[in-house]
Amino acid sequence: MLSNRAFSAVSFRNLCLGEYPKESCTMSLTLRNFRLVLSLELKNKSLPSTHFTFWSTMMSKQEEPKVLENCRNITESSCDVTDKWNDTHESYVPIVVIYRGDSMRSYCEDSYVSSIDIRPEPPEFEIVGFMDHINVTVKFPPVTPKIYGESIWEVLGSKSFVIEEQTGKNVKVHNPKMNNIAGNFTYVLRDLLPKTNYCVSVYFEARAMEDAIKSPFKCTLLPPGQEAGFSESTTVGIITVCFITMGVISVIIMLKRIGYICLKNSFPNSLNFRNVLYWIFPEVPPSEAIDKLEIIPTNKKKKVWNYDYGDESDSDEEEVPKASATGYTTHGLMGRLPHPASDSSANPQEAQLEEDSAAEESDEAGARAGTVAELPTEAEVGSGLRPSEDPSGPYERKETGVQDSFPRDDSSPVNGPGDKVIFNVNLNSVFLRALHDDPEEASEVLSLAEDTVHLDEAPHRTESGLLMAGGDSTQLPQPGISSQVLWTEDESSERTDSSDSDADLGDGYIMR
Amino acid sequence: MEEEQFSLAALGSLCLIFQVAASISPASIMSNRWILQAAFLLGFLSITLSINYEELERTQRSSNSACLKLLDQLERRSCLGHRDYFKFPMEVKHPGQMEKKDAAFIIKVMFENIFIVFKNNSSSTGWNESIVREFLGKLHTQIDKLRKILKEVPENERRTSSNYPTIRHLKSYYGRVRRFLEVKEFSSCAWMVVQAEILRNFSILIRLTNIFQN
Repeated sequence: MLSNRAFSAVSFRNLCLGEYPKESCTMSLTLRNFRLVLSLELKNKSLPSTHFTFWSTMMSKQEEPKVLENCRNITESSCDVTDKWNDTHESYVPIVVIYRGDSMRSYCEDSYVSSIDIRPEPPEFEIVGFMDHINVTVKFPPVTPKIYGESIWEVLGSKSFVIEEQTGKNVKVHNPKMNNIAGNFTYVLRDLLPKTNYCVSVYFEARAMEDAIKSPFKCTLLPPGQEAGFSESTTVGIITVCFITMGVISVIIMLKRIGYICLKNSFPNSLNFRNVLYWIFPEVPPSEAIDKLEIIPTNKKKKVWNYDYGDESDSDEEEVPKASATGYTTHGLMGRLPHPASDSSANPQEAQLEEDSAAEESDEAGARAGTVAELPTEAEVGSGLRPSEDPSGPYERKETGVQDSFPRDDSSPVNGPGDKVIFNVNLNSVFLRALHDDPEEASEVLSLAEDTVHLDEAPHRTESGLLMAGGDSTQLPQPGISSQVLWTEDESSERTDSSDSDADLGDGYIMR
Repeated sequence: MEEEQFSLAALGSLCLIFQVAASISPASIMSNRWILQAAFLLGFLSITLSINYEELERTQRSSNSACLKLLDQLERRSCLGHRDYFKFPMEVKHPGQMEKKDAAFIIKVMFENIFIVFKNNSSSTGWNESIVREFLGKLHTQIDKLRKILKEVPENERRTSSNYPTIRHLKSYYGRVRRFLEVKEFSSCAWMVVQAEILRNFSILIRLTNIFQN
């Protein structure tokens, strides 16, 4: 006795060997209610069929066709193969035996079918319309359906489900991602127009668009919206724009702070080629600032020269600062005691010369003290620094400045008439502090400290030196003095470096 | 995809220029500014050098659909007496957690070998030659795109027969298909069997293309 399997094989061979005619038919594989259904469509519909038996085999293996037990002698021309075909990538060959009564049999064999031939039928769905959106509820089984032993979303693809929105001639396609969707699924169609009729259809994508089975359209007329005020979507849009703007601004600020953008290049005006006017009208250098200096003497001996030969008594009084009892001034370099009458009577010439030297020293000190030292606290430099002007001019102004610079010392002179107070001033020890903040002027002031005026041991030398300068007593050494008066930083350095003009007396004293 | 890569490359170059300009600025001495700039540059460079899988999925899906549509237009017959078992590699049939880059290389190899198979004489089948030529054209276009994309992958990361056994198994499989045709002397039923096998290939290609969605 043959086994059932052998019997089936033998039976199939008997059929195929000519006992039964072959009919033309069309086989289709559909997904109906999430079940894989093989359907038969006979071309010869003139003779009605009574029942069918479905067989199948695979293309990849040389196996005999097997009967599908759940589809043996059935009256329907379709067979549920969901649990029979388990390989997604396999090509199955269906064979159907057609019975017409008890006597007539035929068979139908189409070509092979595979998963790519599946035509999924659309699921059931409902729509609910609101003012500006529609809720589409699609009915899926509570458990994710399977075909070929896998989830339908694995076989068909997670983006195979399509919701079509249509209004008038405008069609919009929505392609939601379906990953293991089970149970009822709701999708919202947003940004719709109130008082507008919308129609919705759902379907699964097929290999070819013409193979897709679309559901009938379901339509709804959306209710009218609010006449005034912003809609919810507009409000959300405005808020979104604000957030985006804030985000962009914060990114720009961050990039600017880390130096990605807006790097500042502060070029000098001469390199600023965009400033054409600058090339035509270059900047006028600012007027020279007036330095206010505070002279802090440490060791002062000064011989004052008075170059004002024409006006001896009064100018001496005015110009020559009074000395303290110790022979040093408390404020500046001027130490000459104002005894015009006795001095002039006892030693008129020497007194005159000393007074001259004192005046000269006062002039020099005033000039060096950047360039005019105003005692007790401040000096007006500007009165002495006018290099472009007439040399005689500064001298006069120097006198004026000196006159203003050196206040009258109220202390009584220590020495009596005829006494002279000799000051040794080590300008290295003279600290000049510019009250002005300009560093150039400060350095200029400090450079003056390099020069010293030695008036102590060899006053005659100084005098001679000065006398030399003022040898022509009537001839004021204006150029030299004026140059000293107009002493700038460069000049002071030149004088410092020059060994011809200065006689080094040692200990930091320099005779001029 | 090429335009997007070019724009991304330009963006990366712009970041390089910003970094050079910032380096000559005295304000760039701050270390945290350098770190931020380096992070920006690395981020843009990584975007520039990586494969755009979203675009690849779109083009591959379109190519799969076009090729299947053309194959479907060619006549099918079962020819049960000429069936053969070609042993398609199981690791490709069930990719599991395959990486996107590996899937891209496998798809390229499959397209190349399907092209080689169908270039043979199929006149015995009675198929429309223009449909066959159009099918070959679609295959060639997608092969070109895949080659250009995968050229950006560093050489030490490329999948070849020597360093990736799956590629070797695939090539053996297509060798068996070509030998089957030769043995059957490119008969009509042999081509019908091969056609069924290639349709099966495309079912697997659709599954491999879905990997790019992950």
